[in-house]
Amino acid sequence: MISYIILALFNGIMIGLCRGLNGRLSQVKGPFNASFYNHLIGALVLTLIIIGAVMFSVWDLQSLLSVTKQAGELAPWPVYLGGVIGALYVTLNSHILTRIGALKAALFVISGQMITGVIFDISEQSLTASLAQLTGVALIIIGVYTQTTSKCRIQHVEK
Amino acid sequence: MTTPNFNVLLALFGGALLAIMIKLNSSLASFTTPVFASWLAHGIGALVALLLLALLTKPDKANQASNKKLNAQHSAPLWSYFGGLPGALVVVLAAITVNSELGLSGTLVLGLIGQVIFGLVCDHFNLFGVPKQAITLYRLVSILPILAGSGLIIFFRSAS
Repeated sequence: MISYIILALFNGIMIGLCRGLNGRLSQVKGPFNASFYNHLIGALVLTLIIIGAVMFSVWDLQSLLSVTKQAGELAPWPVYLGGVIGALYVTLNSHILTRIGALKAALFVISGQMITGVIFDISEQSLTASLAQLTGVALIIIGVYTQTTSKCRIQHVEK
Repeated sequence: MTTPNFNVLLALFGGALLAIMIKLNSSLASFTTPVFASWLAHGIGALVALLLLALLTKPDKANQASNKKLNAQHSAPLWSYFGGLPGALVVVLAAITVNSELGLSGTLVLGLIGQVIFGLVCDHFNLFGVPKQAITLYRLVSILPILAGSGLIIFFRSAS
């Protein structure tokens, strides 16, 4: 259990590292380039992982690459748009990272993500869950407000 | 255009995009495997980013302007090109921890905590060119409302 906890924490650090590297590249090459290299290297790394796992028979290639469910139902086209949105997301994130700092970038992205998630499944919740989630949203709004108005607020430093 | 508050809005909007992206990618993963879904998303993302790059940026002009702000850091270090490496690992690691006792909510909450710790450390040591901000008690406390709110949302989503 403890090893999974460490692994999950490490995963969060990997998310941060990914943003940090992209933000650093974006400073020199611009956010669109950062997004491009992020996705290109990501695709190459995953290709290597897939090749490795198939070679060592961890995964079976045919079932890995199929995009149909057991019943033969084909994935509808909108699900492929994740990559399109991903390209925009990495661009935005690389742009803001070095401007507002790594902590605020993480906190505000998390906030936007959580609130959007609540909007997605607000209709399919029990009353208790909805109330808990609305409390969560309220806490996030308070948190974002404190962060943006506090004395820690960063002025854009021109060097 | 790049006032601090405008960037806050951009970051919040980025989070909304992230939520939509994860929903689409996990829906794609339900037709195949998380790793192949991520491979497809990265491939499509690379093509789209290339298209945006070609359509929306004027070669060099924008970059030269921002270069002037970076006195000592004129070229991007080689390691900064490898953001996709930890990005790709995230998918594989998440696939492992989601299927452990931690489940989806444990994976999400611990992932958020990892991101916040990483953000604090980056700002403290001004890594990756972010403005330097030391870890203070105020900084630590100011994180709590957003983390607590996120925790509530994540745990009560899975409970229903």
